[in-house]
Amino acid sequence: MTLLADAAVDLANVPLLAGLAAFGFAVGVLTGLFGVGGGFLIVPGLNLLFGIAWPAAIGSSLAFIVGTGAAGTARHMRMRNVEPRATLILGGAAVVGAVLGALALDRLEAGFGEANVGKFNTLMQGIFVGLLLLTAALVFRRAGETRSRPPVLQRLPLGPRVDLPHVGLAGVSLPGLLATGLAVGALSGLLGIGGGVLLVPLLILVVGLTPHQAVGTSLGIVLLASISGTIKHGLAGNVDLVLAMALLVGSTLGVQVGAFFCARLHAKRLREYFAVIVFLAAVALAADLARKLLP
Amino acid sequence: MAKALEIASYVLLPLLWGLAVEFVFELLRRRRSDVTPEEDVA
Repeated sequence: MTLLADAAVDLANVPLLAGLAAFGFAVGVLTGLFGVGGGFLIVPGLNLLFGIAWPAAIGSSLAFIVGTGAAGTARHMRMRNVEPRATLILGGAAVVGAVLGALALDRLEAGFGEANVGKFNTLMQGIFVGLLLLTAALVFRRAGETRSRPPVLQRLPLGPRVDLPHVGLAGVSLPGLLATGLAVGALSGLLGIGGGVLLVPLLILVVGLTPHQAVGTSLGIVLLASISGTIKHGLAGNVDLVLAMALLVGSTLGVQVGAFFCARLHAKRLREYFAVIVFLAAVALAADLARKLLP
Repeated sequence: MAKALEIASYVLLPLLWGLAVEFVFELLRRRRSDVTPEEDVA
């Protein structure tokens, strides 16, 4: 059931625009708090709450993430939370991955055909549930631990290696960083998410950044990946600028509120809240999926 | 050409909006606290 499957959002539809702005504000608070672009909530939210078709929700979400990512990155750069070298390496790989992911989405959509739109939607929703549950599990598991050994990319026996002096990390595997960026970028292009929901736990667990550094660095990478994804989806006609801007008006205000609280929260507490929100989003999405699938 | 402008607007309008709002909020923060960027970070 899609209200906007084939039509752009009408500027005269004030209640819809206000609803989109309010939804954007709520997601913007999470962006400032946790360094996630919010695509993992925006895309299923646009589909489930506003009845917008998946391709339009995905393309417009990426355009929205460009704005919210830019605001968040600027804010966290001032707070010295962005690791520039990791941002460029991971972001460069994510840009390539985002294009590959968007191409995969086109193939997938064409493969299902117009007669099987329902099946396509169910598959996309299922992928989202799996992704969110995996992220929540990763973060929950890590929240109670203290670091006893070097992070994965320092232990990975695969050179060449790079140093990340801004965060005091030496000998990080460059191929490992590139593979991480490529994988997150591919998911970004495929699912219309910026990738922050995965990047933040990966930057903590795999690269070895602190939660606050991971939040800032993730936003920089998300910004680069979402620019690339927006161009690709714009060429395919999947971006609705009015929709994206309505979300953005609310979210850029929300980002400020979230970043304010981010600076005042303890790192472990930040991780726990993040895991709870991701888990709740997964449960809501899974419940909707079960309602559709069960007779 | 029109298509290129349309695609550019998908990226540039959200980007500029995000940066402009952040700039305005930063100005407001500085006015309220009247501190330098270094002091703000500390």
